[in-house]
Amino acid sequence: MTLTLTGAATGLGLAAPASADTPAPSDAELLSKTLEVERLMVFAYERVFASGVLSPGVQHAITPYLGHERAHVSAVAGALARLGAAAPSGPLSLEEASAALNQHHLSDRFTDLHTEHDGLKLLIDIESVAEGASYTPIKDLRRPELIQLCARIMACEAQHWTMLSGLSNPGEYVKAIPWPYVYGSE
Amino acid sequence: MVREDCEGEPSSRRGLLRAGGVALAGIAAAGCGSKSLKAQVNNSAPLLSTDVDLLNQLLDLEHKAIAAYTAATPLLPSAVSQAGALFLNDELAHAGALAVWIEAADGIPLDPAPSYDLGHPRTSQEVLALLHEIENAQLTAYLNAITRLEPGSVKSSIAAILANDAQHVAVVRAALHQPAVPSPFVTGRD
Repeated sequence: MTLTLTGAATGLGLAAPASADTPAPSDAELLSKTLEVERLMVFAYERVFASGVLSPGVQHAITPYLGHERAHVSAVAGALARLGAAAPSGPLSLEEASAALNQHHLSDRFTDLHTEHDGLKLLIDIESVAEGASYTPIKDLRRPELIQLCARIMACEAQHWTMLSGLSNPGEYVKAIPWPYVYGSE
Repeated sequence: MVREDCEGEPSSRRGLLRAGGVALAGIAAAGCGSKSLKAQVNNSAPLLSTDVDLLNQLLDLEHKAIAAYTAATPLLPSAVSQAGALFLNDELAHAGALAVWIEAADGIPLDPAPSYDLGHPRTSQEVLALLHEIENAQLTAYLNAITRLEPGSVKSSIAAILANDAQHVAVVRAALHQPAVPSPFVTGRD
């Protein structure tokens, strides 16, 4: 097998630039998708906390994460507003959140949380989407401060993902950090 | 795009990564996602020769992290030493990626230094603090590099490494009995 450049040898493929007849998305278009997922993340934490499925210790451990997600919403919405774009940052309705889950190929489980595992698994799945929602725009964003913002948020979501996975699988580090690279999911 | 959860058993994949080293790690990771390996390779974009120095600075930090994990892992408490071994594997993969990029930009990857000044940590807490400091230095460096490197796809790849190092930091902080995720925005200064 002949391997060329980065993709094959490292797993970190270098994607081609957008083709000439495809206009590159604007920074605002790119960030608006990130904001949508961050709002979904806030909804998910609120929903799982309110469901009562988490043990007190677990809920206490991850309570700060909801604050982090709210800070992400605020930061991304602020960046969008500075770009002159719409920046809805209010809470999602159950219907909006369920539709967003489906959009990311996740089954709607907001009304079907029965165990701690259900709650943690839902959060882990959406954290993976949140990682992807910050990762995807990085290659196309033009403004350095927005690249930084997405990278810092993405790294935070990856930390959440790891700690939630650790709570789901105590002591099994390989499940909390399964890969040398983090991409999230779409 | 590669999903973190795209396969059933990460532990078995880890076994593959360890067995095959850096190159196989990349192939396995690329192969489990929706974006095919072939597409990734064919879509490669050129790296800039002007970025070689910066990439080598990042590689130097990876070499130091590899040295630190190699020396420190046997000294860690048994509950954490498994993580140390995994993180060493991750740092080896990162170094491999950076070396390939440097060569692709017509540069020469920096060799590891003969030795690194890692201080004289005596307790497991001091060892963990050293690893925390080294991982944080990497976070700071990757955050600094991400806006300077081109093309955009390299920025994405730097983010993929950065986020993994941030995961390491969270585990190390937890082992130090500090808040694992102290801030909504990773800075490398916590």
